Amino acid sequence: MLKYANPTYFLRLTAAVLPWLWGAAGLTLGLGLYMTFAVAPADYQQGETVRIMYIHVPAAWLSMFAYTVMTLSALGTLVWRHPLADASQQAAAPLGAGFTFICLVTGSLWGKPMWGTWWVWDARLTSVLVLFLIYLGLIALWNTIEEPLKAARAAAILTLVGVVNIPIIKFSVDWWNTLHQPASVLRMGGPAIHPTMLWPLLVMALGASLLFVCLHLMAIRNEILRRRLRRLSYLAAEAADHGLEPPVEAGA
Amino acid sequence: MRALAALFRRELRLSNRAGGGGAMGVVFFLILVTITPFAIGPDLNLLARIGPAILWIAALLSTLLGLDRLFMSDHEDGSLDLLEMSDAPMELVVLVKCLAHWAVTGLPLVVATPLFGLMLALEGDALWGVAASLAAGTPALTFIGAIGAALTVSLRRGGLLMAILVLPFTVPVLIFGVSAASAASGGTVPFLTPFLILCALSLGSMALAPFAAAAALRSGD
Amino acid sequence: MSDHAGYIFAAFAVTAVVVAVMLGRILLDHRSLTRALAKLPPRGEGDGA
Repeated sequence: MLKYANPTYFLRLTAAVLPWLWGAAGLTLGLGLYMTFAVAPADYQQGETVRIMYIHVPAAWLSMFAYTVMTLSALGTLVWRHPLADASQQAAAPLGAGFTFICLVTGSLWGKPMWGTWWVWDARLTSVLVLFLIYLGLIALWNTIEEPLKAARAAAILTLVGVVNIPIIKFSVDWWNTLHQPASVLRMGGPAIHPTMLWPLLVMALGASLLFVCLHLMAIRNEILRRRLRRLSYLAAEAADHGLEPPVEAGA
Repeated sequence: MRALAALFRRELRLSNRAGGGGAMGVVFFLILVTITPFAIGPDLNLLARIGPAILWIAALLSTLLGLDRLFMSDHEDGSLDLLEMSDAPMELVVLVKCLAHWAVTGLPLVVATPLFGLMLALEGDALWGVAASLAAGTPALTFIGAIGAALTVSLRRGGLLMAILVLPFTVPVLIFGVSAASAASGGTVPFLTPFLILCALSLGSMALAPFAAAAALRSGD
Repeated sequence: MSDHAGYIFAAFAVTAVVVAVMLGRILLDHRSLTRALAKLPPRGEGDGA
């Protein structure tokens, strides 16, 4: 386990695994898109617009998945103080924000023909908007604190505060607006959605998750390199200082 | 325990001496209440309907206003380091500082609310509803804000960042605060349901936020 | 496709653009980091980040 957590080993392992993961993500997403447009039927109520669901729902799932990844990494930062956990946290925040943004925009584009407006203050949309704001706050925190170790701990604390708060926000927003349709994929007593629509959705969700894993691993690699660059440039600057010392003293 | 009581008195004295942070908060609150009718028009019926919401948003903003100084002045003059080295656990120090801060900034808002509510054409029950909901809810705002204040304590321009970090987490307090305030003047929901949830939010944040804020203060150095 | 084709197309296009931006940002970042690392004298290898 410790071996996998060593950053140098992690760089080598991901370099070997990433091409395969990209291949898998590409194949799954290709199959999913084919099923979305060729296999899945148009909804009898919503017509063709139901095809937006095949990206909207996976994006919503990833917006929560990214937060889960950040939470686990935040625990890694606070409990084990592991540099890889710091890198994973920092890499996940912009990706989470990106997929949450996709979820919001596709939801809006789906809502316009269905509800007649670009935005309704519906409970689920509003909760996702608050989640988006939390992501933006985390990114702002990462960008403001320069020292990476401090930034990682501050972001970890804020992420964990968010974990406690997100269910409360969800509950309060639901309470605030009880007029919305019940969630239909993960309903008690099995999915209510027809299999011809469920399969494309599951394939798209798997493909999107693979895409997220690829992007996340690549971003973690970048963060490892950035921390290495930071340390090496300090060392180089120190070495340069030592090299300059004798002439300065001789001149004085 | 005596040390904590001394800390509480010190906080009160400091805020009184430094230009009266509480008075400034109330003035800001009054200004927000005053400029809202300029934005939406002087229609008293409309103002009475959205009055609780205006008062709550004004309270939220004026609570945030003073919060960035909660730890920053102590961080600048080094007394935060002394507090950290003292025998009292940092969590309790944070709790006491938050309570003192609320007594100076939150409590005056609650006292001023019935008066400002009159300006927004609120009557009888609605006035007391808003005041009661603010009394129950503003501690939660202070404690949630303390986490943001602790995270941004060492940043020179942390005020705006603090607002960005804290405001999403105040959504539940705002929702239940405004519903309790509106329920007091009649509505579909009984007053007690949102009011008790609001109390729970305040007590919960009072129990948990000191740990997060203390952890953030420790990680800052 | 019915008269809502524009919305469907826009939804998929926005998704493609956002994913492309995320990927492009990571790739550009990677290129600048590896270049900056290559310029530095090779020191402190093997101990990880």
